[in-house]
Amino acid sequence: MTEIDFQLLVEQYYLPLYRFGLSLTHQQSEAADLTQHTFHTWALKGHQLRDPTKAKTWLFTTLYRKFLAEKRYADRFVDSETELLFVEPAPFPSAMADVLDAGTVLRELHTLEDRYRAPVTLFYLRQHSYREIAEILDIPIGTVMSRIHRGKAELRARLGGTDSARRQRAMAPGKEAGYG
Amino acid sequence: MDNAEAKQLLQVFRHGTEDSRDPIFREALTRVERDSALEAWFRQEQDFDALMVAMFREVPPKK
Repeated sequence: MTEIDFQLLVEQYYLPLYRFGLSLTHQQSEAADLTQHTFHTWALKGHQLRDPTKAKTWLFTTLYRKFLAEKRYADRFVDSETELLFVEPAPFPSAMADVLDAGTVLRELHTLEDRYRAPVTLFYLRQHSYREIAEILDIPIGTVMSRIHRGKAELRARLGGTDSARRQRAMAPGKEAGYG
Repeated sequence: MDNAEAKQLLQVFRHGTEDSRDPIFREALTRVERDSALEAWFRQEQDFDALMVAMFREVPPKK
């Protein structure tokens, strides 16, 4: 991998990686450290990757493994039967779009269990296929989908319970979304 | 496939991605075309997802 290629990788993936790291750690400095560690590791070992199309997945996998190693949370990623159950998402007022901001979303995202937070973040970053997400998190695709499903439902319920959401509902009670 | 199973799949469907070509979603998407209540639910889901994607893109790099 040439220096130009490395620069391209940084330009293309620094921000998505940083956002993934921020969702995992909720600390800007830790997210930046994880991102820098990831590119540092690439600089040392990236040349060993035989398939250049795997570079994106390699970067996200490296960041995620570093996060797990630092936090020693791997033993908490245990499947449970509850993941398989369908959870009807809580109603979400359409007017919430006017009061939500990225900081609130990140704050509520960080309150989710680790096993839901990472897949939900990768789902919303829109950088990866399900096969790639499964590879990054080292879990089966079916588990990825069920964790996203469950994580999204919990995130939505929490966003609907924020102060800004409660204020919005008080101002516009007729705008509550209905579900069939 | 019943509506609960369809919703579980539709909740992880990402519009405008390769999910559109993934056969795992085909039956659920067909069901949406035939069920107006499910279609309304699906539209709300997609609106929420679009909002979350926009929020993630607003996260600035560390200064």
